[in-house]
Amino acid sequence: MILSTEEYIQRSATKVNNVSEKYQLIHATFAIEKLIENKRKESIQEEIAGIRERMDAVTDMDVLRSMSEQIRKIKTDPGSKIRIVVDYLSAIEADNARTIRSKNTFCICLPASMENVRNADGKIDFERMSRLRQLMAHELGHIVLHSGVLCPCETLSEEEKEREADFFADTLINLRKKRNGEIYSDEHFKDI
Amino acid sequence: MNREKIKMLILLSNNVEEADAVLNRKGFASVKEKIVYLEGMFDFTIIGRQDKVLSEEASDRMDYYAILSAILNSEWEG
Repeated sequence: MILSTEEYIQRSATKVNNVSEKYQLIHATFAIEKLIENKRKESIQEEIAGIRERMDAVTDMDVLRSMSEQIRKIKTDPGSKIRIVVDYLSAIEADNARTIRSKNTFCICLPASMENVRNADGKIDFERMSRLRQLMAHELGHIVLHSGVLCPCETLSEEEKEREADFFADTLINLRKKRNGEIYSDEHFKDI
Repeated sequence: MNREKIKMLILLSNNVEEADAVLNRKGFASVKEKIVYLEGMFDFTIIGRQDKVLSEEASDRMDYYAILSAILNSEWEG
């Protein structure tokens, strides 16, 4: 079957939309990756500034090129880029979740049974979606508060960590609701 | 099958089920044993665990598959 350009674009947009429905609070996930990236930039800025300072006194172009390459390597070191991935696993039972760090990847594992937020009739199951968002927000809370990449790791009991992650999740979701309320109640929104 | 080969086959698995099948060939008696084996082979940390299940075995099982998922996903790092 040959698709018209319009049909192809519509199908592509639908595909993107369908996948995006499976990922709750993806704005927050992206924001956390940005916060981690910014923190990394801050920490390497001093190192880079030191190299640049030394470059002022250098006249040999080969040495300058090598110093410039050194800076480029520091900036683009793939080993320092943190990723957050979300995986739906059938082994994870409903309303459970895990977050595991392996190398520079944080893997949030959610129940496959909750992946589809729509019922058989195609309508959104808001109750399931709400539980999924809570699970996701809680796990993001662990990454922010307890992984050591953004906040210094405190010695907390498991119970305290869970309480903190719950509080983080409630706060994040409430802020999102407030923001959505502002947007969806505005008459300009219908034109966006 | 030696340790290095097992590690290689796990890392080359397309999904957690394939990786689990590799470990099953070692004949572990429990999921906990599989986790201990993975701990000696890979670097990973459990950061979050929302556990609503009552049995320890079910909880271990979820840990195990989540660990495999993290190991496999981290292989896609640039």
